[in-house]
Amino acid sequence: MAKDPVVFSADRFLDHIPHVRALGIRVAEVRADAIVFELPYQEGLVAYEETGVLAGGAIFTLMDSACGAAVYAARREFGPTATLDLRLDYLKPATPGETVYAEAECYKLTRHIAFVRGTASHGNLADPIALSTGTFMVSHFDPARRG
Amino acid sequence: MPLTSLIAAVKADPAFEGPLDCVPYAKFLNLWVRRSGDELLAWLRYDEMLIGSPAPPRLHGGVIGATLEFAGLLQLLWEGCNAEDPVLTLAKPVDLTVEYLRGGRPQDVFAHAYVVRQGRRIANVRAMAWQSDQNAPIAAASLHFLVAPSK
Repeated sequence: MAKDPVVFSADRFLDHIPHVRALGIRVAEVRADAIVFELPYQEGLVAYEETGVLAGGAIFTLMDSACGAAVYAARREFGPTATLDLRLDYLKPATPGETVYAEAECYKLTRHIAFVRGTASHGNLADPIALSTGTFMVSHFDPARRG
Repeated sequence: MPLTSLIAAVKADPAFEGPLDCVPYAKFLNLWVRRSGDELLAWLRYDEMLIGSPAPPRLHGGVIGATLEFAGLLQLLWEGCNAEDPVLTLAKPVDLTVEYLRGGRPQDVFAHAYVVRQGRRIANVRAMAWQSDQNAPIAAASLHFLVAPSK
């Protein structure tokens, strides 16, 4: 199946981010209300070889990336954005071998701050691996454009 | 070397420096452990692949968060681990809140942690990350770890 053109261009954008590329994070879906990133399973990203469970830090990075992208999607422009804080709750271990999806939504965008929440799962949002809440500062915002 | 042997090596050598290569993800990041006086530091060695924002180059916030989490885990092991007490090697992160204070420049990152309270099951930990100047932290974190075996 051909990729959705919006997903394709978002993926091209990710190609320019070295760490996102190193982890193998791709865009799975771009919707009006949310953006979904995917992190394919890699043995090199696990916490303990014995369990094969992905390290929390890899999930944290996936969620940070998805939450940041949700801010871009909400602003509809690639203006400067700085993460103020990001909280991640680790609800259960990721299943070894399975892709992790991070769905993030900017649920409130003000002149200076974007409020974002995200869910990491293996595809079923009702059975999450991790939840995140973040605030981002948005700069170079031109209020005139909002009327 | 396994985590417990690594901690033992750090305790034996006041100038210890070595990679945290028993954790595949830490090895992927090229995260090292360094002893500095009575402190144990998580040391993220700079590589271009850690960049999360290309112009100007800034470290990915996720790797700073991961470094803070490792600092917390290492501090718990440092304070609590001995060969007869493998419980803490099972410390599991419950949640992690990272406050970003400055952009991470393309340089090494150091992080240390402080155990605010070590309970029977939960450890409350704070961690701080900096680069060239310890008085100019780039991020601070608050973490909970579950330290009881989950049987």
